[in-house]
Amino acid sequence: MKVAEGGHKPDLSQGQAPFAERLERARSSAGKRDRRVYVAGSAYGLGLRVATEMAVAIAVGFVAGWSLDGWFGTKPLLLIVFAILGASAGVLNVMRTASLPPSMMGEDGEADTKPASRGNDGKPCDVHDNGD
Amino acid sequence: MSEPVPSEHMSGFALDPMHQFKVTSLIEIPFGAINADFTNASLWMVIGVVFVLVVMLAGPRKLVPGRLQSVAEMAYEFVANMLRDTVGDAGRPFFPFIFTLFAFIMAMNLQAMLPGSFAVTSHIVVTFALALVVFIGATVVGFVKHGARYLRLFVPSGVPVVLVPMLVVIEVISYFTRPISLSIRLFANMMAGHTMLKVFGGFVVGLGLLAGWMPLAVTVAVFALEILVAFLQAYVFCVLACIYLNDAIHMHDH
Repeated sequence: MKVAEGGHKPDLSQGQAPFAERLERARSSAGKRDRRVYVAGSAYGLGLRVATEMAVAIAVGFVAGWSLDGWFGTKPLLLIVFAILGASAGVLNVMRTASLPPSMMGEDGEADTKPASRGNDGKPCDVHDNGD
Repeated sequence: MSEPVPSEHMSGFALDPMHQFKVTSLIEIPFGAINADFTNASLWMVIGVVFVLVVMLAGPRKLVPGRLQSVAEMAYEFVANMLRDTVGDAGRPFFPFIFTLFAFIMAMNLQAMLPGSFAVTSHIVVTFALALVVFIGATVVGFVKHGARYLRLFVPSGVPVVLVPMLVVIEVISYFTRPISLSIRLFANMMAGHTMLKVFGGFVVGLGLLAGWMPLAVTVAVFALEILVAFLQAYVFCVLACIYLNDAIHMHDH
């Protein structure tokens, strides 16, 4: 860093932006860097996650229906109903997973570096936009 | 389950990729009908906790941090940011819990990458217990904060009255899905990764000098991926815990 002659202030006029601005820049880039570390390369992870949500919801519906059938003695009926409801819950879960902001899904969060990959997904982020 | 197999380690290079997950008793602790033995899983949990304690507590505290202090500060800030981004200021009282969760899972996942160690988080008992703590904790927080009004979480707003009963059932199922998907995700990722490493490792030996370098390259790549997964899964687990807490505290309807 260059110090201007005859004074102990850094030279602000040439090249060096004011301190506040540099701090701001450093802060924002630091945030970006951090985010990229923990979400890098995980479309695979996202896919696995969505698949788990779906499968688990169906399984939960299935088990719930099965045990309710056991209680009420309505053998196949509630099982069928709850398996279908479970599948619906799975779709709901998948939708909720997909509507989280990318940085929380473990999906690629490097939005600024690759705008192209961003274009076609429509960015459905409004749902969880810290509501209140 | 609890045959005392004293100090039986990885069985050489036999192609048994699931052997690494076997829980063996190291010290037998008689505790009535309950098996309270000190197993290799317990041992690695203790090692992990000690490791975290060393990272967080040992070392001098300077204004300009050294390496160890840097790691500790980064971990703290990482979790603090995560909590603030998802829950906001209302989540501050839960920071110790989330941090403990993150540090524990992270330590378990990372130390599992050491050859000869034991992947604690590749057991669904462990991950499900963790997820259950999160799930029950979030539910309790929700009821304490909102009382019976917390049940309104299950009633989606702005739907026709006819559909409400069905949607409530769907929401309830979806709610009870949480701990299961949370635990299965972590456990499946860890187990799949470690099994894959073992399988490709076995190929290296099987194919010998001639072609063994190919699976070796794959093993190295998978190893790198697994380190990423170790971190990512700890992060995902904690972020979801934060999201559930957020739902419990703020109850914004979906």
